[in-house]
Amino acid sequence: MDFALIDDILPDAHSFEPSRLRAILASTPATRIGPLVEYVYLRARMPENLPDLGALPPSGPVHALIRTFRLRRFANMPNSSAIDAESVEFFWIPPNREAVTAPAWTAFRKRFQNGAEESGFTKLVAQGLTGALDEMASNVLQHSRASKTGIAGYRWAQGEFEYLVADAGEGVLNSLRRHEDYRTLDDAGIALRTALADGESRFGRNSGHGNGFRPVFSSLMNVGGQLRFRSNDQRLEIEGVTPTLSKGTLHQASFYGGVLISVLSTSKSA
Amino acid sequence: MRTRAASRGGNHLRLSVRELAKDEALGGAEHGAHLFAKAIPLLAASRETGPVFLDFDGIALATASYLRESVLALRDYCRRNRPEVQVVVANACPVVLEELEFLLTRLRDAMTVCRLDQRGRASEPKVIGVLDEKQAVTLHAVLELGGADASTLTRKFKSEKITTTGWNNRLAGLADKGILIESRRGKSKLYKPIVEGLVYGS
Repeated sequence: MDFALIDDILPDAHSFEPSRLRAILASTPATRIGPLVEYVYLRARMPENLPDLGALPPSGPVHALIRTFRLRRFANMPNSSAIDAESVEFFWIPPNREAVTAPAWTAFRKRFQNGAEESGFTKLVAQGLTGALDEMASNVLQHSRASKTGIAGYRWAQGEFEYLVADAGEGVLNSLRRHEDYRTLDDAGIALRTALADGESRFGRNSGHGNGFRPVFSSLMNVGGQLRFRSNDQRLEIEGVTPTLSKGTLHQASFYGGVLISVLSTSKSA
Repeated sequence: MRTRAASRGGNHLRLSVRELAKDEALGGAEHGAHLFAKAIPLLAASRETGPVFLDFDGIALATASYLRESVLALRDYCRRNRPEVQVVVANACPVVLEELEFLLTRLRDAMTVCRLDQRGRASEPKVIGVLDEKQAVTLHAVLELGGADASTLTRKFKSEKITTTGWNNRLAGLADKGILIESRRGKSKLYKPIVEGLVYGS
């Protein structure tokens, strides 16, 4: 399971024989969490065409995601205070403001940060990545209108750290259009690019909001990154050291109802 | 109330962000709002006037959303409820300062930052962010005089052709931002920099 498979196969999934599709999926086990979650959330819109999570070839990310889905929501997540990073872990995002300070979420953030450090990043970079996680989780809470669908995850290996935040909410275009500044916006690609820019938010331009994606980029200063942003029928991808929005390229994609942010960061030593 | 989170340094209140937030990396509007909620009772319980130092010592980073919901929200709270105190950001590392300046510039706003030692002595105070031209002129005038009321500024800067009311509005605007602090002097209000030695611009 990788992004190439999602981009190449899923738009035409309906034209594949189920056995053929299973064979294709079986040939690329999910080692990354970004494509896996994107697959699962895309599948929710076309379950008849795609094998479910349990039918995917087993892997660490698949097992971890199944465990989290079984718990179904934030309130059921284990109240562990352990801060040692797992190799891969998912966590339901706090669905309201009060839950953001819950010890379970605080411990998850610590494990997230420790995972980044274990992978070889400095403490400062790891803290920056955690700040980005906080902002993305906050975005789900404030903008998705479906905060209970919000999920975060991380995976680390020596030299690389991957994280994602995803929801199955109303998506960027609908969210922005709630404010009159963006009421005439009708292109999901422009909406995605707009939302990623500083100072753009459904609270209005330059309202002091809309800076949530800034830490996603600033945390990758002098760090190699592969970023993928999904919403509606668009994906925006950026790759390289010190990635910036201006380097992003937009592509048409299968319809994703909500927002997904997937970041793979690689330390220079990798 | 005196805790590790709130302490008295000199004759001013110091709130340790590190102690209140229990973290070094601060992100997310909700976490910022949580810091705000923790700071309010400490502010309410204090009797100090003048600057309240939000001490960022030990904080590695804070995002713009976090700062909006904590620092700026506290400043607004004081303006409405405790006008005799002003929020000053102390000991912020370059990463936090850069983020705060970014936010303030976006909002066309400004506030005071400084260093603060263990004894509560402030140093290197400066205004960061953006002031409009009128406020900048007013601030420079007050800094030049060390403190002023509107009448004094009207007399001293006759050539500017600004009425006393005009100066008063500008001075009050700078007080709202936590840059100047006002005190009564007879019937007029005297405005002084919130921290001695304050500078703005190059």
